[in-house]
Amino acid sequence: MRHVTGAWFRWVGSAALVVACAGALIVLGVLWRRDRARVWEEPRFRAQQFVRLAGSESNDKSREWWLVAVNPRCPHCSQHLAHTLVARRAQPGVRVGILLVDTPKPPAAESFANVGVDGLWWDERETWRRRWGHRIYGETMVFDGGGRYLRTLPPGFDRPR
Amino acid sequence: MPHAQTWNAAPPTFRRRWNRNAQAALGFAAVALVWGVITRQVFMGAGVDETLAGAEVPDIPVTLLTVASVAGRFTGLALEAAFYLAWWRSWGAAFRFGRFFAWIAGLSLIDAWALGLRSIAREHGGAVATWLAPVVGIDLWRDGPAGSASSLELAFATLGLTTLARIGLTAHAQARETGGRLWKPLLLTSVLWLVCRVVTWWTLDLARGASPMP
Repeated sequence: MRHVTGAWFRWVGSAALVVACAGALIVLGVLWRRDRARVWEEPRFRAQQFVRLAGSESNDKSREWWLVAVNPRCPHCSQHLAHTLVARRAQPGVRVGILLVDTPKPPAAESFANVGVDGLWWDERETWRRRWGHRIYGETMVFDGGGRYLRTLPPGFDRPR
Repeated sequence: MPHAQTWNAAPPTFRRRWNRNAQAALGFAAVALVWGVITRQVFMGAGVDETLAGAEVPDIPVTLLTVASVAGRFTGLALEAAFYLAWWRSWGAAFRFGRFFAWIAGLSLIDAWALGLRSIAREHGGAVATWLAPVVGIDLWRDGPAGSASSLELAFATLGLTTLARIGLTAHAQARETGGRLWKPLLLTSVLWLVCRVVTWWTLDLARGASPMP
């Protein structure tokens, strides 16, 4: 190995690099471990849990409710919502609703008047993030007619991978 | 003195350096062009154009996203080169940043090629994906609905022969720079790759929480 003029502090330099990288990895690992160890509530769709801004009650006679998590500042959410609405056409008895998440003040219900959903709710108490542990905007949570959680579809689920 | 004579009178080292810099610039431009073409194809295949068209944000052309993505990739390569520079210099080895950066920028074309092949495999599926999986990424073997992949699977999705080639050639480039044997840079590069995959795995998990990955 070709060596340039060196001194003992070169060892300190390499040790500092290793310690810095290992330290960052350990911090990330601790954060990850703590996060994965958290036990989240199983989602349940109850109308009184959220602030209803428009549309029907959740517990009606529909077969399934598809609830799309939308943040007003999310640039892709409208497209994911459109995908969900298209996918719903092939599913009789399915109702689609919007759950506005991570927003301190909901936008006016009129701004969703032309979207074609069956309900609009605002997650005022941040249930979606803090109690259910969900974090990806545009996902579709599927509940049965009684509000029992069935599954979550990722954003763009109707697009072939 | 005529201009031509002045040029000819320049020391040969200057001309050599100028030629080398011109060659390097051309090389970087070619690499950026290849990455630009591949990235644009991937964006178009993923429907980014239509996604942006439906967004309530100022219209961002795919070209701009492609340029930003290529710039980001070069920044990543520069950071990778800077890490190896810091590592080998701290051990007292001679290590030239520019030369090594040019090497790994060239080697990144292996990743570009693999990305292109992955798009083809996803498009055709079936036997094509099965046969290409060991080369460009083991996740092509996975069959399941969207969102069913774990963060761990996604982090190691691109593991294949092209990954091994990239690691081996990056280590070889370091060995050339340091003038040492291959096993040390090979160990360092492999460990760094593994650490990066673990960081990706944990970061994806932290980003998604209980949500399925898109």
